[in-house]
Amino acid sequence: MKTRLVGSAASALVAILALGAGQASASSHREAPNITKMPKVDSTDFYMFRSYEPGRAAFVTMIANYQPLQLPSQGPNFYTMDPDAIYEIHIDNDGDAKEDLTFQFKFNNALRGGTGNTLNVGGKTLPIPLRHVGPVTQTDDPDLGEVEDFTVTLVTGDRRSGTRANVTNANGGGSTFRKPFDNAGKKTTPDYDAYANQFIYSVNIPGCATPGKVFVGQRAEAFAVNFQLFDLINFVPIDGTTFPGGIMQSRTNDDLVDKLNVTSIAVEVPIACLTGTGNGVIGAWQTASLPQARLLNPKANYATPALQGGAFTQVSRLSAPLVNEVVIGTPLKDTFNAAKPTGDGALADFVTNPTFPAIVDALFRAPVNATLGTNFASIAPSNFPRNDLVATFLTGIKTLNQQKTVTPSEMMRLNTAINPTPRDSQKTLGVAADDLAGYPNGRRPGDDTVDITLRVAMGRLCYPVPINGTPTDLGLCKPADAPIGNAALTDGAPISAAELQNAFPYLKSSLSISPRTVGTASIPHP
Amino acid sequence: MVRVTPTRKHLVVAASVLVHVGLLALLLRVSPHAPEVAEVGAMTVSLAPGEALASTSPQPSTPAKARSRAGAIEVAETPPPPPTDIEPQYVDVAEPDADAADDRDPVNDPVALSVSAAATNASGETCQMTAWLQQALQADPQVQAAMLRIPRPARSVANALMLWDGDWVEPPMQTSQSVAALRAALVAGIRAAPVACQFETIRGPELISLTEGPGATILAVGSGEWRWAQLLEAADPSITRSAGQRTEPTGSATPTRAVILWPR
Repeated sequence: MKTRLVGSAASALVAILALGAGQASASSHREAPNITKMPKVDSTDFYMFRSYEPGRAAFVTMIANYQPLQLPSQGPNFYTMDPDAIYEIHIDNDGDAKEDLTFQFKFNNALRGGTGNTLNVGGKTLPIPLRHVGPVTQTDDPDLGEVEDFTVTLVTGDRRSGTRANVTNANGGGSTFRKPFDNAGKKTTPDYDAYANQFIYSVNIPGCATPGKVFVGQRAEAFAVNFQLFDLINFVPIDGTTFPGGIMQSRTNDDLVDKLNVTSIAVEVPIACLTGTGNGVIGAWQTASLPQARLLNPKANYATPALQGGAFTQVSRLSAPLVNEVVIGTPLKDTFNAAKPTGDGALADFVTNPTFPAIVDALFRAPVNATLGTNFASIAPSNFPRNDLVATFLTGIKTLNQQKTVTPSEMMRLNTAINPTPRDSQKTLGVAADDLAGYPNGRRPGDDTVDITLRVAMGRLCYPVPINGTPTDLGLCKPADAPIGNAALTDGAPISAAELQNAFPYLKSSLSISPRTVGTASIPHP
Repeated sequence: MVRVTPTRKHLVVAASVLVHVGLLALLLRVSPHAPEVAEVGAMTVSLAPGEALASTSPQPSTPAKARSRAGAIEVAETPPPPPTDIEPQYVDVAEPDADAADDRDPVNDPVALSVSAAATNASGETCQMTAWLQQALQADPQVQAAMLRIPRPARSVANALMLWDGDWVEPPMQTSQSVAALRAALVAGIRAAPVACQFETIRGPELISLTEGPGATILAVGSGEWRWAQLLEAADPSITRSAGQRTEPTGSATPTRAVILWPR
């Protein structure tokens, strides 16, 4: 019997592997081979910034997005979170690359009454095949047959052995929160904004005198990217207004914004509750972890499609965008996803000696030389080790966003002493455009991180950056190190804060395709 | 030719049918929903050292059966208890002292001097000049007053002011008096710092964050390779130019020590 059981387990594991292999494909968010098998726990974008919503400057907002490439109105199951997983946002406030605080989200999905909504058909009462049976407009709408609740735990110290305390609802108490139903369309939810806003909770955070906010729900994508990047950069990646034949800025170049959705975990926390004993610069990153073992249940049902066991094991990790996509080598992408920042030393070569600029050189050196009449032997930066990239991704830039203790590690670093820039004044190119409150000093939803990353990778920081209008040498490298470091590199897919909300949770409500409207052809049909 | 009597023939057929039906029933009874996959050999999966969720209760999150054999996974009958079952424990997180920036003499205040001494002890390698200057300027009422007089359009969108990048920089507005006050305070702070720190080689700008009302102003100093002592050479506030008119930093030049007032 035991042999039979173990044999079945092995078969199940083989089945898991086979399933995953069949789903793998290339795109921006699904950045590592193994995580493509587990979309529910795939981290897609991490934002961290001083809240620029008027009146909220004393707070930091962190948004951890998961589940990439969600088609609007994709029923009948839509995009629930994985109740077996834990989703976490980690904060290191003293620079040792170890989390001092962790916001841990755990979901519980349930069918109302154990079955979801039912109908009596010819004398037989049966569960319906849809998640909802009528309009969904309230937080506990009876027409929604499957609900997603979640808890938020603040862990102080190590994420697994630290002190745990529940984040609670500041209005009415309780430690269980609800995630809104995804946007099925206007017949289900006529005013999705109003519906979703009911799920923005004011919360008491342990140790904080001032309440913060929590929201989890489906949002419209805000990561602007041109997927032709992954077709050997099938365009001329220099702004067409500055370079003959270069790509022009257009929403039509974008493959995510105004087209697809994502699931956001957003939390807004008073600054004073985050900075601890550090110098005011906080480092943060998001992760998702699953129980180490999963055995598929051959008699699967809603409650137990599989059996879980073992310790929680990290399968996804993200802070700065595009690091795992275009910096880390393919054999180690899943290693990066499983690693803690303290282990990033093993991956440092990818930053000090990056391959992506060499790829750009191979693809574009000849056209650049031909167009400009130059004779560059290489258009990739030549300063090795790339201290400019080390500062951007691993240590923070001195006095801008470097922590009290410097432990080289890949984290999003935010200097909480720098004022938030009001939405209408924000510069989409962040620090490189005289906006110290933007990427890579944290990241705001309106920062065009693809363009910034392209430019920084090709040596933008070797050239002076403006501070209050004054070109300032960051002292990281020299212009001679980077032949095209001052070029207006771009993927032609723009984004700006003006396209997004000016209030928590900042990303816009999710898109739907129902009802179809003439003129909205940019939203794909599922 | 062997002749089989009808009775015997019927018995053989009946027996054959019974055997087949019996085998079929046995197979269906034993595994009515068995997937049609090949049975594979036994496989043991070892648990690598992983991370169990912390618990304040006596029961760890790993299921009991999973612990029954060292290093091997067995099928757990129930999933591990969710981490939220753990009794909450509330902890105090200390908040920074909002009144830390009080009215101190940046040169003679004991706290400021202790910061200075700490920097000296570091032999220049761990000079905390920016922190020192931040403390000194934050405590200077003239600095506070000067900052209030500098209008928003004279600052960057993130409220930064570039003061010196090899030369004194005049913001793009008529704010000469206010900026002169900032420069004077900056120079005084540098003068009060340990000599070793004044001559420390800096690469890139230093950003000094000063609390101003509900927000903060960032004073930016330096560009490329430079030393704090260079600001003492250029202490004449009349030497100014407009923002955006860049001159190369003079970090390679050897500062003239004679103009520096050493701290006592």
